[in-house]
Amino acid sequence: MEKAISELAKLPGIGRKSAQRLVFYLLKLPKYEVQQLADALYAIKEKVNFCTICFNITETDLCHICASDKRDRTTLCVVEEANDVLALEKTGEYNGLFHVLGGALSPLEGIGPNDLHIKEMMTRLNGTIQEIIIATNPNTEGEATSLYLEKLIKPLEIKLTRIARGLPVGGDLEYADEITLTKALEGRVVL
Amino acid sequence: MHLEKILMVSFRNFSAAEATFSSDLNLIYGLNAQGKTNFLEAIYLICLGRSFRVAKNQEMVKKDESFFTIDGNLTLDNKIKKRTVLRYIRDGKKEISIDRKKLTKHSKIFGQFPIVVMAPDEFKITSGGPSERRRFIDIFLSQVSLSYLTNLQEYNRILKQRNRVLQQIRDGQALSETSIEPWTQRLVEVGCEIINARNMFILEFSETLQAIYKKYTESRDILKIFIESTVTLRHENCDTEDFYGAFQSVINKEKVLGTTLVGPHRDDLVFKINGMDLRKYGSRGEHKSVLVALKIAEFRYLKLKQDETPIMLLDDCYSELDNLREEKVFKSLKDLGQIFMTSPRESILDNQRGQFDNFSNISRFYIENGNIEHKKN
Repeated sequence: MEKAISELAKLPGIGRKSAQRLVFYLLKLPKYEVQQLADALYAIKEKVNFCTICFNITETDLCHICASDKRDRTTLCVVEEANDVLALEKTGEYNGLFHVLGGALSPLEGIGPNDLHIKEMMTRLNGTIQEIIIATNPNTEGEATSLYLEKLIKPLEIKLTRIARGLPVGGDLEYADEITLTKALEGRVVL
Repeated sequence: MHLEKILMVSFRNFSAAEATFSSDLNLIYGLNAQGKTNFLEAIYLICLGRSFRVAKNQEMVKKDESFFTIDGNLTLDNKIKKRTVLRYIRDGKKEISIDRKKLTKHSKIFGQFPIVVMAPDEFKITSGGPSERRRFIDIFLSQVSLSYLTNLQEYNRILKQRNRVLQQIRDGQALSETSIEPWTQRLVEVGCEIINARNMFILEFSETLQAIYKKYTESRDILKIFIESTVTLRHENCDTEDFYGAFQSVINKEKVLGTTLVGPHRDDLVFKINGMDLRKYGSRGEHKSVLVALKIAEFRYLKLKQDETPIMLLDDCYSELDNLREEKVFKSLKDLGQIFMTSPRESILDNQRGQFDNFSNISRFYIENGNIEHKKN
């Protein structure tokens, strides 16, 4: 039991207390349910891998987005992680393709351009892509990565955009922090 | 703003100590090494969430204890009461809450409770290395402008990343030298904002400082401060071209040294009296006078910018004040706000020169071995 707790506590966002609670919960479950969970967890490693084109997670060779014939193949959205694909897919507003970099530039963590799927992205820019949307995180590393990609893509004369930074929808102005507000002001649009 | 009450548990050499203060002048006296400065440190922590000493959280926990708590009740100028609680458990993270709401970022406390400290250590501002002056200006400006603080944090992060790339280049580990470009560009963008914010601040602040220096030294000496930057500006405002220009002449050297050589992290603040560099030519007396003037000016500036009267901490600074027209300094401090001063002796409050005339309400606290005793007048 101690082992289960400490293994769970290794997961991001889970501390020792939460881990304990989870273990006690699992103890109460019928055996087959725990088996299902364990199988599902194991299957992640066994079956799930990365799409050979965009590096999104998939159980097949190509991810469902790359394999789909309903997607707009002229637009490419570049993100840091597969998580970000899920987030953007939830919007239901984006119908183009993705490219997952697998992180952001961070020399401190030993992540340079060659550690990201940048080369693979460049090989995809062979004529069909007409717009690239850079959707890296708006933090130090994400911004630097965006600049790096910009330098690479600019000479190709493909339309290049960066997602906007600003206020969360449904929020009140007064609750936004100063920096978000400043960025929102900088990125204001003409009505 | 003033501090009404403080409670410290397992903090430094205090097991559990509580005190209620005068909104005017508070004297904290006692022999050396009994906890006077620790007491001021606790007040500072309540207001800014960090120490004025170079201190690790670990070191602030009382020996053999596992945590410390400081709990302070503040009253703002508009009579609104605020309660700040700071808590640290060994090997954990410091937690700050204001009115029982935990702050998601510690920096959110900056700018809410202005405070100025004058302590022997602060002499490093005028006599120490450039990093001491940058620290002064950074803490000061962060209290006034949240965007300055955010930019500074961002800048430091970019700087670390850029230095890492330079080290990789130096050690032959970098696969391509173009990997430095995005970091240079970000450093320039954010660095410009910092340079401009500092310049704008100095422009305003130097006038206040000059006037105060004249008044309290009763001399005609002219004190000027300005920023000596590694980035030469062609116009009043820093633009990215200035910055790239500065990089061009040092980039090869940077690749050898593995560190970033230009930018606001290398800038210095220069004090000149009648055109003479204080750091090189200033007498001990001049250093003292400049520090006192600097602190009073800081007080004034914070009050003006934040529309809130700061708290003033004077750590064993009487001999420093002595150098100026001390009664004048105290009289003006009275107009300014709540003061906490430490001294080895209670007799410091002997009002021979009338310097304490203006204080109607003086509280005395005797500190011995981590115990606080409120002495009745």
